[in-house]
Amino acid sequence: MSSNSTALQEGPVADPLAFTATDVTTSRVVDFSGVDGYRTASELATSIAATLELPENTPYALRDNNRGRMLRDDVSVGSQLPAEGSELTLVPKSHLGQH
Amino acid sequence: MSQVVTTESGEQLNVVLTKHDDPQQQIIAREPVRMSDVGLHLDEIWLKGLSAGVLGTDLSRISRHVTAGKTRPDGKLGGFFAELREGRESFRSHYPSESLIEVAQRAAQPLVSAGILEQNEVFRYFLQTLPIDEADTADATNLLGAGARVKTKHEALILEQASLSEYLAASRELCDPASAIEKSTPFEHELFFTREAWDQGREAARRGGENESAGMFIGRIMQDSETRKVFTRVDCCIEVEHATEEQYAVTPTGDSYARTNELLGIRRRRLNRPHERIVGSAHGHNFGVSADADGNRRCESCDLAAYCNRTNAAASTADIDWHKTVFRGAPWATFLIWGYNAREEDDWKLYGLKGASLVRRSLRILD
Repeated sequence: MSSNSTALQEGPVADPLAFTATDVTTSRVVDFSGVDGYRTASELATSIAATLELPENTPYALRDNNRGRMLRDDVSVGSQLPAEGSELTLVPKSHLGQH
Repeated sequence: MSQVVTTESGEQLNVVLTKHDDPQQQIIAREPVRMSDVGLHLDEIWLKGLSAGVLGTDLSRISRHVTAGKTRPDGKLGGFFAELREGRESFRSHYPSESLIEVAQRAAQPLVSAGILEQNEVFRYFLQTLPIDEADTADATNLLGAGARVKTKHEALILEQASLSEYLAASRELCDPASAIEKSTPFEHELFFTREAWDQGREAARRGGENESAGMFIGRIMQDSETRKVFTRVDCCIEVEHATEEQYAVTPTGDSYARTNELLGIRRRRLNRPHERIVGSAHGHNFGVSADADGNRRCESCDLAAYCNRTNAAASTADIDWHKTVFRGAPWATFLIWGYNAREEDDWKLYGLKGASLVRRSLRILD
């Protein structure tokens, strides 16, 4: 599978991908398979948010729980994750506060 | 984007905008309502259905439906009905068009950018059903690649059986200071805090000193063994670690949520409570109340007023947006703000879900 994405790549790109994603409270879990590895982490986060029907006016990022690190938004997911077995958390880029 | 909302009759639910001063009410924008827009509505119905003993705890067995409200003589819909069905049982509620104001605001944004609307210009909006527009129906999974497959799972909701009447007898109501002036909305869903959880919530909110800081409430969803009414018990508050704490914002990071879930997992195992979950948040508005144009914080009636209503203990748009993002699917979730009034006294407000909005509510403290 290939993509016209202009995502940055860091090394070989695993494609397609299979992984599990959850919201930050871990109450909803989604299994994904056959995902285009050339998509950026940002694009994937947006798609996962839509799947979970989360508010669309909030940007999201992804945390790789297996490695305890955030994925780089502008880099292809396939160059940041193995082909299978990743566990991701969808993290809202939002804050609590007066402003 | 999440899926568009299609009604039982197979049409697409849309919010339509017109200019406020246009007698012809020509449509200037149309925005499809999406599933993410009715998340709070559906969450609330699930909780009501659970409490009524009509709906169960397994969301995979529950289907969701939207029905247009009555069409008025002017062609506008009188709101809409959101309904959950499980087998032969169903539970539904009516919601007014106003409950979708955020969709209208989303539709208005491009109009402002295009100069069709002025910034802050008033506009009218209403609901309409229209034939499905294929351009609006891009499935979220299409964006993942042609061969992508998605399977959603839900963590089983376990309801702990208890006696609501015993909980009520062993607790007393606690209302925020503002309730001396304006009563908070009565809630069907009872919310009980242990004294420890309440104190820990304040501690987590104030820990940041001059900066905002936060905590996450941990508790259990309970069900009255006789009436099946659902209520929430809050057992403790876990400090939100690894967050960026600033004077006017606290931003949890990926590590913050991971740490909270790690500690929740430890509690579940040590206390043998596998059904404990995150049930809300607390954070502090630890900055002072803004001074007025004359540099005064207190009003002229300060010495006489029983309650000071110049307070920063109020939910901001950012607070509400964060809560909706984190607690989608958790209609019992609450959030608490600790702030200060102009007298530099502690002030707080607690919020819960009602009418698909987050509104002030009281709680009960377990003695």
